[in-house]
Amino acid sequence: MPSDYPLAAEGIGKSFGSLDVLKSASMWAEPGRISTLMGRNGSGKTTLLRIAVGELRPDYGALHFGGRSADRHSLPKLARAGLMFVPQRGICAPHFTVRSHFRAMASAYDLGDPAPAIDAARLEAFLDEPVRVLSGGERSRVSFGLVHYRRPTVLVADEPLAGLAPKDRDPLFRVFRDLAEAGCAVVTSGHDAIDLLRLSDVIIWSVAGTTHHLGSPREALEHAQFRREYLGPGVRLD
Amino acid sequence: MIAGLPRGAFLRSTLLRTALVWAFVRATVAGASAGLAAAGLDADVGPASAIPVLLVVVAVVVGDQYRRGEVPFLRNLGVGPVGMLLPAIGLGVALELLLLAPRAF
Repeated sequence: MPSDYPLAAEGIGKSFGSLDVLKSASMWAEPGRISTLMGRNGSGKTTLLRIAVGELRPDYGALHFGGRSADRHSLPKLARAGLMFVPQRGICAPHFTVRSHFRAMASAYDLGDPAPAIDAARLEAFLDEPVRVLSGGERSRVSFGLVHYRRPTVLVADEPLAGLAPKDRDPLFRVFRDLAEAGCAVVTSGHDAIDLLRLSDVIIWSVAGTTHHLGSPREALEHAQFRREYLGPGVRLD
Repeated sequence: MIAGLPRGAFLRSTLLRTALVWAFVRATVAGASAGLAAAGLDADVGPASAIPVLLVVVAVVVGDQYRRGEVPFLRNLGVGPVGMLLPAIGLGVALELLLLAPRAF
C-alpha cells in the first residue's frame, strides 16, 4: 500500500478557480530510492509536491507521512518529523550568511559538527557571505549542503536541476545518492530528461492532471506513450 | 508542539526588527498625539493604544520575513506561523509594558 511509504499522496485533486490542475494524481516516496516526477510545464508536478509536503491543501485525496494520515499536517510539522522540502528557488534566506543557516539548523535539530557537510558542498570560501551575493549554482550548493547536514528521512526537491550548470550537477547527484543509500526517501522533479533518468530509481509521469508510475528509468524508456508524448525519440540512457 | 525561532542570527534579526518597528510606530503615535493635543484634541496614548501598536508591529515584522524570503528556510526548521509570531509578540509586549507601566502607577 502506498500509505505504508514514508510519504504518500493518493488520488489528489486540486483546482485553482476554473483550472483543474490535478484530477487524480498520486506519488509516494520509497526509502532508499530516488523517485522523479517528470512532465511538461503546467502538468501539476509542483502542485502535487507542494500538496504532499503540506504547503498546499488538496481539494480531495489522501496524504500519509510515516504510515499515518497527514491530511491536516503542515510543512513545519512534517519538517520536525524528518522531512525537508527544497522548492525550485532553494531554501536559503538571501539576507543571512551561509554560516548562520548552518547554525540555525544545528540549533533547531540539535545537530553536531557541520564541517563534513560544508566540505562536501564546497562552501568554506563563502561561509560568511550573505546568500544574496552568491550565484545560482552556489545557492543550490548551500541548499543541498543544508540537506546533507540535516539528513532528512524524506527529501522532496522541486526541479533541483533548474538553472544549474552541468558541472554543478554531479555534486548534487552525489548528495541525493548518499542520502538514498542512507535510507532517505528522495523525490525530485524536472525536465532534464537524460540527467534525471540517470539519477533516478523510479520515474513517475505527470500528465493531464494525473500520474503514471512507470517503474525504473529503463522501463520508462520502453513506455511508448511516455516516449512519444514527453521524451521524444532522441533520448537514450547510454 | 510549537517551535520558535532557533537562537542565533534569525532570532536576533527578528528581535532587532521588532524593536526598530516598535520605536518607529511609537514615535509616530507620540508625534500624532502631540499634534492632536496642540490642536486642542484629546488623544489616548495610554494602555488602550498598546494592542493596535502591537498588531502593527507584528504585522510589519512577519510581513518583512515573507518579503525577505526567510519563510522556506524557517518552515524547514519546523517553525510555523505561530512560531514566527512569538518573538515579535514577546518583545512587543515587553516594550509596551516598559513604556506604559510607569504611567499606571
